[in-house]
Amino acid sequence: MRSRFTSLRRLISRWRFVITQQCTPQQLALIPLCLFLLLLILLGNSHQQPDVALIQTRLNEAQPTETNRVPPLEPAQAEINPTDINSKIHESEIRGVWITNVASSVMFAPWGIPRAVRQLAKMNFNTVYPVVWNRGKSFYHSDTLKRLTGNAIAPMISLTHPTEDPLAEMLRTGHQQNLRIIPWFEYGFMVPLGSKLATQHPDWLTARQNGSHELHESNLTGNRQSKATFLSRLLGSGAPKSLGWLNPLHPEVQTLISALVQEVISQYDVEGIQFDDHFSLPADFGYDPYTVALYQAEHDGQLPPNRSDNADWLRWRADKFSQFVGTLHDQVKATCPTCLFSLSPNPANFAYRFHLQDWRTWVANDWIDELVVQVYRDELDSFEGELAKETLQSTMDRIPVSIGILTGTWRRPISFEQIRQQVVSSRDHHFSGVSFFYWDTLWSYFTPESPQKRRQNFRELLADKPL
Amino acid sequence: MSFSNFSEPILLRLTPQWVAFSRRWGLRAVPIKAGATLWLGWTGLTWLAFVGSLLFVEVGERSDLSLLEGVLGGGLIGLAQWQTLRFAFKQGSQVYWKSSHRWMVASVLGWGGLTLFHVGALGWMAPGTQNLFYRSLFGVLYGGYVGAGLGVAQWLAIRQQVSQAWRWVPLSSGIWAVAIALGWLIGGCLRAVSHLFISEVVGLMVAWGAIAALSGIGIVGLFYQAPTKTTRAL
Repeated sequence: MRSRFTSLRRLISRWRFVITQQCTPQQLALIPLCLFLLLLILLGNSHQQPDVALIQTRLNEAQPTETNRVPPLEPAQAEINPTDINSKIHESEIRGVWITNVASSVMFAPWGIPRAVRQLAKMNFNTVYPVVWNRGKSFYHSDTLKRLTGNAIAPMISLTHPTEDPLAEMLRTGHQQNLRIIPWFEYGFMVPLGSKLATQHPDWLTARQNGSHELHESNLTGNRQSKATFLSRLLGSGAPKSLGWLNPLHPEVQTLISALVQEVISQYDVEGIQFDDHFSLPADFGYDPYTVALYQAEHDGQLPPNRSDNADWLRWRADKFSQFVGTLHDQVKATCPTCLFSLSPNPANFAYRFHLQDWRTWVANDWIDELVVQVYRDELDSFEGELAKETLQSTMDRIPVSIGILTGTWRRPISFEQIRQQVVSSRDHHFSGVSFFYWDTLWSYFTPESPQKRRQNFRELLADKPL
Repeated sequence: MSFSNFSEPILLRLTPQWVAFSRRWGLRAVPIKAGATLWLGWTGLTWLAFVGSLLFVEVGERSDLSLLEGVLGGGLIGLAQWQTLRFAFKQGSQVYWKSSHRWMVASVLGWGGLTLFHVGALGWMAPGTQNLFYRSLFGVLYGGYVGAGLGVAQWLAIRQQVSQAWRWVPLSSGIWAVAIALGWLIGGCLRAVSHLFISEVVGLMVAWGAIAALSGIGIVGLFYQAPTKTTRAL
């Protein structure tokens, strides 16, 4: 013991000599500088919230324990049972957020996902809807898309996530924080006309009456944005100039969507999957050769009505689409009985008339497990008017219904006061919870208030109903 | 009338005054290439260091920022400026080259001290008010205050190497007063139009551009004066 102590003293005195006698002042200055840089690197990934949480999280990741183990991909071996999380969360208020790749860096920055997940958990969120399908590209490893387009994952993502795809990372970090991860097929049937899917399979695209495949902005009115300008496209991370629509009635398109869903629920430990208003057929569409032939076959050779809003024509297409929804639901439940089939549509009348999304029927047939209705309104009266509608009230008797609240976009910033009023109103109407669109406008520079103030406000808003 | 005919009487009139001013303050001509290199390096690296610091420091309103964020931001700026000085004087004055690290230490301590005194990391801060008049007024006041504080810390670092280094204190104060007021004013205007907090970040980027450019001129002037007789390296 004594000899060890002596050698330690010798070592210290030797290094003290080296440091004091042989180091130049510049080298001495480098010591605190190196420590400073090390601190920067450690804090770098925490981005905007320098605290010890990240270091702790990393230590936990490096040394899995019984209570904090990385969930494996195989559902059968999953330590966290999706049913448990789903039921636990359905007993309390659903607090969800959508995470997209559009106008967002979260998927592209290496620290983006851990940071987002950690902050969301800290703020008492319990559900995340991360994008997995957008602009004809996937944000998880998809063999189906690899076969069809040559890219198993969005090319930029493969560069920034060389070892682990964003969905796997989201699940690993999210489950550690007890968050529900429900992959969101954001684009549904919508694809850029310049994408490989659209150019290699033009027969998969549906068409308007004039034969055009292009989606008009008017097709996405309601909750959607106005015409995209050059600046907005720039800010929108290279949003495509022209969009088309895969024909949801086409068997090969249905196979594609089914395959993508199957990949997600069978290869990843998810709590469910979610589609939104893009999981639809805009009412202008349906005049493509396949759909017309199908219509003629069932209507003694008659052509579809010229008016796209013809009630029978709307009903026929909506019913055809609903058949596919039923099939897809059965496939999901056959593969993963505990997975939720979540839908985030527009309010019912709008969804049916403009998107042929007859979600009332889907709910009535028990195909939908959870509904998150997008009520993106600025005026509180209009917002509350939607909440009070009979359809929503009756749906609440069957399944959990939460309200999608817009927290802003880069072009449409929304004050926290408006968000607070809408959350309070949703609670007053006894909905199951709220989901915010989208992560980047919860608390960032792209909000009217400072990020810190915004976080403080959300903390207070979500703290008064503990989970 | 040619241009020289027009300018000559003006120059003849100004020259004696300029010579007297230069003699009084001990100013001398700065080699154009060396001065321009130092100014460009100083301005560019300082501004880039601020942009880089945004990865670690979140711009907020007053009282939002912590001591750590102040030290982090100040450290990055100091690091960039230290490297500029090191590079600029590597082949020149060994006195400056050997002691340039003091600048960084002074910057870190200066920012840390200011944060402790609840002035906060002003360079990463937006004012709480949207009123443009108050923004300008508070920008001048707080900017001048922070500039003076930083100037004192940096003066302590260079006072033995640089002749009449005390001039840096009022210079720094004035530069910060003007730059912060300008940045907050621009940030306020942009925010009123866009309703986005990012406007404040843009305003601060303008402010830091002004700080970098103006302080660069000051640094060139200061460091190309004759060293004091008591000059010593560490």
